[in-house]
Amino acid sequence: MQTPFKNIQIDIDSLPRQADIHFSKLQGSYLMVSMISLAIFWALAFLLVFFGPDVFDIPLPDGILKYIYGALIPISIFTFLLVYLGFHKKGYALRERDIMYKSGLIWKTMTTIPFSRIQHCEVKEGPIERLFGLSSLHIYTAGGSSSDVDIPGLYPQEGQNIKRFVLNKINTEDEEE
Amino acid sequence: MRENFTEPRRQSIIAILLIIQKSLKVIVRQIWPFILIFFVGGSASSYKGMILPVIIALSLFSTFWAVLSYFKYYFYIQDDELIIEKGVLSKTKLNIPFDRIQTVNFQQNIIHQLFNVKKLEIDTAGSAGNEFSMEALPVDVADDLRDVILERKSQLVQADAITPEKIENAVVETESLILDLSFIDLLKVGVSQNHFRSGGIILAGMVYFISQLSDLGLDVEGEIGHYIDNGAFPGLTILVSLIVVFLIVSFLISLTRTVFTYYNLNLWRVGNKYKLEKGLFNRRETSAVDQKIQIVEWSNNPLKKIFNYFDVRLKQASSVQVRSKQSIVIPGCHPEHVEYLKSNWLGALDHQNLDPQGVSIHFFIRKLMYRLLFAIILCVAVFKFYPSFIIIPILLIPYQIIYSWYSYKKKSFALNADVLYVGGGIFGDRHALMPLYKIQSVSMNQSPYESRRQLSTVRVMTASGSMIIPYIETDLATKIHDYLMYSIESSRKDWM
Repeated sequence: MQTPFKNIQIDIDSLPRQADIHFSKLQGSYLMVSMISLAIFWALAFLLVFFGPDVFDIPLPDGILKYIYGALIPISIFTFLLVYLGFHKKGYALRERDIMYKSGLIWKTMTTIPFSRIQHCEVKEGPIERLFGLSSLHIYTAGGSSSDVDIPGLYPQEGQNIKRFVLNKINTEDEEE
Repeated sequence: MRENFTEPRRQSIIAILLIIQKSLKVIVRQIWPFILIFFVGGSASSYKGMILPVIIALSLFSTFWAVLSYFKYYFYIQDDELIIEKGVLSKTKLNIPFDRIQTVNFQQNIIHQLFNVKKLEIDTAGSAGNEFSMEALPVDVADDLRDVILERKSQLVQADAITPEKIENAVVETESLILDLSFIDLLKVGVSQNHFRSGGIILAGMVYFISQLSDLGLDVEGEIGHYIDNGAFPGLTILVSLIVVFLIVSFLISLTRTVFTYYNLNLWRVGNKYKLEKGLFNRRETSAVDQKIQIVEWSNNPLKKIFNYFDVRLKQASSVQVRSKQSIVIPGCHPEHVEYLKSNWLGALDHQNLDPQGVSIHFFIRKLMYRLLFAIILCVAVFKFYPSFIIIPILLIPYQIIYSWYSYKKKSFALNADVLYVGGGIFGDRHALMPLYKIQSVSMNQSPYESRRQLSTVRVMTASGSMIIPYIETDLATKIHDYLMYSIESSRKDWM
């Protein structure tokens, strides 16, 4: 049977408010994962600046290298600072009917996906993540990559639990219909 | 008498011709610079002896391949599935269950039209986003196949329908003509196209053409420079005359293109879908089912405003790979057509009681800052290198101001219990409408600039692109977010 049609007036202020939500932080060791990834990136960048001109035979004006290093070193330190501060801005929250993920120190973003719109989810482990015993949860919707959400820095067990919780929700919702 | 599709059968023999045509097109696209060199010469003409044999070999091979793939391609219907067996070297068997088939579309290019055959494209539901096509079927066979599939499909849907609303959808298959573009309308649509866009495409094409030729050793830039150096055209005259010629050519090209693409356009409402037929040399029939349409957009430009026309875009859910193919564009719709399209698509949902609101003035300020910065940098650069042309970037400054002002002035949004509306545009108007239950996810974003002013941007993601409400007060953005979440989660409707 179909549920009888209802159209109750909604008091906007009585809706569940995202402002009241407590976001769970990511695991502390994820900070190390992001730091190491960033360090690898900068190591490669510096290697390229150091050996690149010789290997690819690019003639550089004399003395320009010290300006390049002079610019790159403060920038790289700054990115480490950003990653460090940004880590504390990341967090996720599960509600009864949706999952939220927020991130961003300078450009802030918060995405909410209702369980009923999730196509599938996956627990993944990258090589550096695995070293620290971490994994990340990828949630896919039909809205394409801009509306998908990746939650990094979870213990594999945690990731699996959230995944099971979400899939369970999707299935029970289907049955209700 | 219906055709019998239970026995495996081949396509029309014309398919061979079409496969050859397709592969020749690919070959020509890859090697046209070499063919040109063959006739024109240039530093690469040392390969000249090789070019002809290579072309002949490629053509022979593609013909051979076409014949083989034609004879290895069978299709038939079994147990409510369309089955396609194909493959020359490795064999593939595709099973397409009827209930996953969304629409069956037809296409006829000039060869199809000459031999009275149709290309059949099958659009399936699901995130796999697969499409299947058959190069050529005789027109009556193609129509029969479509009817067999869609009829059986609606029987299947009925059998499994629990809700009365689904049965209703399946039974009522009335056809009504919504829009029939006359030749005069077609010309008006052509005249009111965005000619700058087709001009841009021509320019890009020319740049590509020249770079391809230069790669092969023809000194195109040198040749052109030679003309200019000889004083054949002095400074500003060359520029003005070039611009005039360019505008005329762009105008003519977009006019002919419009006439060819939208010739004899017919829009039908068939049951719960829209069916569109259009085109002169390449005639297409495409359908869009209501459930699959996620957003309806209607827009105009100053010229279209004079003719009182809108271009309507029915944006369908799709996987990323085929996104561009998935929106159906219907030009030359009068406001009453737009209204008809919206009301039929949304059914009982309320889209009349909407009260559009504007966005924060900071949206204008921010846009203006970026656009002026760009214009000023350009002014400085032009002043330094081509001082005599300084007037062009200076004219850009008022343009940037007007542009930012109108994009702020026209940006609006509205929300009620059923639908979300976002309006925009600069010189024309652009409107987008969607039912709330088709939302996939919602995000709130803040740039540092917005953050300092307690503003936020709300992005509403759907399976066919997103709708953006920029620069509104964070409080309001939060309320919108909460309300959208509430309405998605309390709705029992499937987004597709």
